Amino acid sequence: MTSQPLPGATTSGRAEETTPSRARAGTAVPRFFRSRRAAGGLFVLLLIALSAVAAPLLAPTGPLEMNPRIRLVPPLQTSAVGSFHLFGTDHVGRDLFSRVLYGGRISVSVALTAILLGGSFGVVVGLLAGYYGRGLDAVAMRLADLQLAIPTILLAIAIVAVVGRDLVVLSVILAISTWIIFARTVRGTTLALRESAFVEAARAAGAGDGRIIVRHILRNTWTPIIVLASQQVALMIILESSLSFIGAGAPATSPSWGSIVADGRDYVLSGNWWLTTFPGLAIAVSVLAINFFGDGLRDVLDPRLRI
Amino acid sequence: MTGYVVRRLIQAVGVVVGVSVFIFCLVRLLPGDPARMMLPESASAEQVQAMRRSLGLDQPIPVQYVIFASQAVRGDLGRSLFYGAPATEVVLGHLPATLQLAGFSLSFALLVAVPVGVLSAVRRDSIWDFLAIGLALAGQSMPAFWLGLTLILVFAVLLGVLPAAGSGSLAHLILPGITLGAYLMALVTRLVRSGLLDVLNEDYVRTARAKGLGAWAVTYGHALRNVLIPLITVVGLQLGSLLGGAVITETVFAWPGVGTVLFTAINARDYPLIQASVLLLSIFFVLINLAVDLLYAYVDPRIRHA
Repeated sequence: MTSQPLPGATTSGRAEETTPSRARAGTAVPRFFRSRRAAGGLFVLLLIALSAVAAPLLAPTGPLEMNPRIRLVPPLQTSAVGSFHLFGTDHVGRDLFSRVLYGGRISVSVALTAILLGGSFGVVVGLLAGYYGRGLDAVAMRLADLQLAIPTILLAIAIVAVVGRDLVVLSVILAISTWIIFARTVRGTTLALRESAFVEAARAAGAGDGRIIVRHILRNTWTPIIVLASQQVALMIILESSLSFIGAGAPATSPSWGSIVADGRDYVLSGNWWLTTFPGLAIAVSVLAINFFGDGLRDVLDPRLRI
Repeated sequence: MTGYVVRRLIQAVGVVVGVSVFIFCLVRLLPGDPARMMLPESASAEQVQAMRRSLGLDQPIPVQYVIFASQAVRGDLGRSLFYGAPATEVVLGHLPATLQLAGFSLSFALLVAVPVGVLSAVRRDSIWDFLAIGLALAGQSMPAFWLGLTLILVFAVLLGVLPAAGSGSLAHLILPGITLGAYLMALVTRLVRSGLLDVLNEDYVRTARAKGLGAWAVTYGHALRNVLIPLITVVGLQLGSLLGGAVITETVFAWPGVGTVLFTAINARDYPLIQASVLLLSIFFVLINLAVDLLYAYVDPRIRHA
């Protein structure tokens, strides 16, 4: 970074600025796939995404369709009425495989929405707090301290108790729990980049604050943001399922994986193992796959990154 | 040090006030009239009015907050509708069970994770390392509630060796303790492993080995010492989340702690109890973090001057 020509000083500086990252990207893809874990993680993630998108085509029934004549059919068996159930059926005769497929749609989309909301809010706050410092910085960081004083689970329970169970509310609660780590990380890199030579050069060339923040600082902050986002998605899925499990998450009409586990918990003691095992496995496998993918991404983009 | 302690104490008080304002505002946003909710359905309009007056609901909002805060300071957070007792009493009465569970989980996590992490680093790439990494990955990927249900399924239903729910004996603590401690155990295992791998080839470790120290003394006396600081940091940071995780774990095992109280309160729409549990747990959380911070400042002088 020291011997780089001053990018942004002239208009032609833009081309030079993009070359190093493009060169890195050239080797990044093969390096990513050389890691068996990372590639495996990506493969499983694609599979989950595909099954979530294609749920209506793959699922034999709707997620809420009941049939009292086929209650508690064990997995891989054909019911009394001749229907086949890969994951079995639950206590009101709903096909568990269909429920897990549709549940994936809810769990994955809530987690992604939360990251999009919380991540972008956190990035904006981090950029502004790091760049302008002083009052804004102090207010944002105190707010973060205050929020960290309430465990997320408690915060969520309190909010849901007031506004009720809803997927949008759930996404916003998860977003609230994740913005701080984005804000802190971006604030840190912004503080460092603000004093760097190329930002000084851009300022000397007459670039305004907005241009410097977007073109020079944000551009050089993408790596930690992407790595952080991939790791936080896994956390969001766990948090979402935990909230849905205790009844402070997804509404009963759109069950997520956590809600399906909650529905099956009363049947664990009577040995109906499949009701909790399959939706739980879906959560654990996706979280594992996301973590493998995220670690692979980090190793490729910036192995020194300690997040 | 005194300056740092005072500054940190003021900060903690500020946070507690902030939390109480938040909870207060949230409860005001609740749908419905709290006065009507605290009375039976058949209550007359006059009774509702009297209840509103006795609850101070006819006062302006800022005045209401002052009344709420002054009552809260004296330990009065209203009466639980479900338990029919003062909410503070209900929550504090269940706190020891939660602390017992959290303490057991912490010990379990450390007692398993440190030796496993050491073994995995010392015998790198062996079958033990492979198993240790697998254990850590599993611990980080399984949500606590599902791990709990799966443990019940295997050890209580299938094998019948441990109780599925309740409390009273050490056997009752094992499954919830493992459930709550699994995540921390995974985290510490990874930390110890990577921390040890970082230093095992350092000069000072080689020197220790060269001067004839046994493998045990080198690993535990010299190398592991280097992992201690990040270990204490992570455990300190995680103590608070252990409390949050206890809420989930307790509901799975019907463990009679604050988490079960909170779960009951949600299902019974017992707002005074929800308010009291969230507020008291948050205060407790702040106190733990305060204690951890002060302990650091005491151990590491660089922190108090930062």
